[in-house]
Amino acid sequence: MVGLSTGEKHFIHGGIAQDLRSDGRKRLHFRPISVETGVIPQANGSARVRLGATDVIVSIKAELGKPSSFQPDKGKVAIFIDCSPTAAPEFEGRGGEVLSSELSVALERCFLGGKTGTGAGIDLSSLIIVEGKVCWDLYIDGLVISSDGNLLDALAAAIKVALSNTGIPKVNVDLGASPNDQPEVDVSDEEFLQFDTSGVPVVVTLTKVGRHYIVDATLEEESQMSSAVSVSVNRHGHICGLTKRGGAGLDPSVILDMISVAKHVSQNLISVLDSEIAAAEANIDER
Amino acid sequence: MEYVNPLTGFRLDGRRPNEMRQIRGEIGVVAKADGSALFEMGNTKVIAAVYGPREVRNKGQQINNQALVRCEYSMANFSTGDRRRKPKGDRRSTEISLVIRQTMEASILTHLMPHSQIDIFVQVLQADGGTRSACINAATLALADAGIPMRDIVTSCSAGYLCSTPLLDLNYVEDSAGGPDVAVGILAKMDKVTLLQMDAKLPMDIFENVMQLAIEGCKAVAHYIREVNWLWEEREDDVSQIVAVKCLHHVLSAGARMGFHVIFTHHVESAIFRVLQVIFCLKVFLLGVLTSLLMKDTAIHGMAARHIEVDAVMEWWMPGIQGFQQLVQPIELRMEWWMPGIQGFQQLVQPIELRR
Repeated sequence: MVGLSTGEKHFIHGGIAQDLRSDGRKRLHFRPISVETGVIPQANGSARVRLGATDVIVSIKAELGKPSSFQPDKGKVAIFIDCSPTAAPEFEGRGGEVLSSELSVALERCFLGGKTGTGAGIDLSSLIIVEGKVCWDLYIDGLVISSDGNLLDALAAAIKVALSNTGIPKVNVDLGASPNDQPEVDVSDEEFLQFDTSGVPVVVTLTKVGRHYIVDATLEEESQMSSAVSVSVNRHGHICGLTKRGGAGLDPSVILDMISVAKHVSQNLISVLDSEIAAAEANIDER
Repeated sequence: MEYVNPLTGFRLDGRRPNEMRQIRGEIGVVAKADGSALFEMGNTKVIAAVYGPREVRNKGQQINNQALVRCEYSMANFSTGDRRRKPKGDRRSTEISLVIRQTMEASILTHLMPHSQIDIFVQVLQADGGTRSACINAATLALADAGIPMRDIVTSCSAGYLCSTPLLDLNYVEDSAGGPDVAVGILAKMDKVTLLQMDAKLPMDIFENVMQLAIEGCKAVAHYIREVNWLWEEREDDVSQIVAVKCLHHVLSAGARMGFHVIFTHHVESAIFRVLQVIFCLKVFLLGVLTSLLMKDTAIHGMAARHIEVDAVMEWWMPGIQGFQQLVQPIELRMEWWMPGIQGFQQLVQPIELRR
């Protein structure tokens, strides 16, 4: 809940119209991003991403499971987001559930490429151990600790960082004598395989306030939005998923325009994230 | 299983029986909250956020003569070793919420904030035994960070009894060994126990030892928490500037109350401001003395360091015994910031008028 007076609303609108927002940013500037990896030692991979005052933690756990009968050659990935009441008192009890599931579904759309998983940013077939029998189940758990707008982008960035931090244990498989036997899997404690994260997209949300659209809106700016388009783009500039939120309708040409802007902004974001990941990894090595 | 090595006397994680895990606290981790803190005890890691005092959301719960304190405890999906998706509001978390609420309520000066509500949210990021203790410690820090008036700081620590040895600050492995787990919370300065829980049987004399050990742990945490506040004070940033301005206001209004009808010009104010900044650096000694003096008959504030600043300034302004007696007054006066109710507002306006 953001309480804004009429004057404050005018200030936000006017600032965006003049390309100088309340915190001094331009319309297409992100807030400073800080990245920390390996924050949850018990997980296979984890990351904490701070985007201004927005603060999220993502942890990735890999468990052995059975592939679904529809896709015997693919592993499973599930994304769960939880909005902690520390972020806002409104999330107390079941208050955060609606937002949590909205975010979870939007992220699944961006990362997992629909039911068939064909357009997934994560290569699901790399999670398979024995086709039709054993695979890795990847559980991506996100936790919103502090919320100051643009949760989707922050969570997507955190997932990308956590995936690059994730090590999947190496396995030795004993197939057994007959093909019907459940194969025996020996999980190594020492050797880990890194993911190929080059195809993992980032999400850029363009929020329309008045006649203009901005990236990385704060909570105050989000409260003034008419509609928002979240575009997930990978390193090659391919669009992996799209979500439009907010009530007001958008002209199709404006949407196309927003997508091309998002594509442009995302390339900057990816390079910033890459350097932050490298810096965070170097930090851990030093320790 | 050998939880204490019979030869070396060391525990599974290499600690001595009466040794705590590494503790670490950090204030101001949630930017949007009124007060927040992160507290780590070994691998256990919790975040607490405080919202309030603010208007009561559910009018039916409003209490007319004191503040309503609420608490919610939640565990992240990834906090435990094996990943589970837990439903919100299960019995365990409801019980811990209640325990934390009652413990914190005992130390908050709720009668100073009628018709208002204070929310404490604790979020467990990693659970490795002793979560309820870590939550209480984090909540204390967060309340102090929010500037909520408190009698004293509450700290908590647990102790257990395994292999005929009392053990301090059990981790998950020791906690699940089936021995007793005694969780104790104390009001650090007043030396009163506010939380005591045990979940197994234990001979009376041994229980005494175990409880004493836990109390020692609480005191060690309290000692550490005071240090965290210091760190926070010494951080040279906007916050200390704001505090300085607030202190200045206190000095001025307290001065007016005492009959110092001095009309401060702008220049004098800025000069005082400079002096205050110097005092910020030199406060160490005064603070120590004043804290001990104040503790005796006055309800001390959680954020002791922050507000004793005011008193240090008062001493500097009016040395001598009368000066000290006046110290008590500004403590009452503090409430203005947190209580912009009508009474608070009247109080706030009064000194300003006097000043003119």
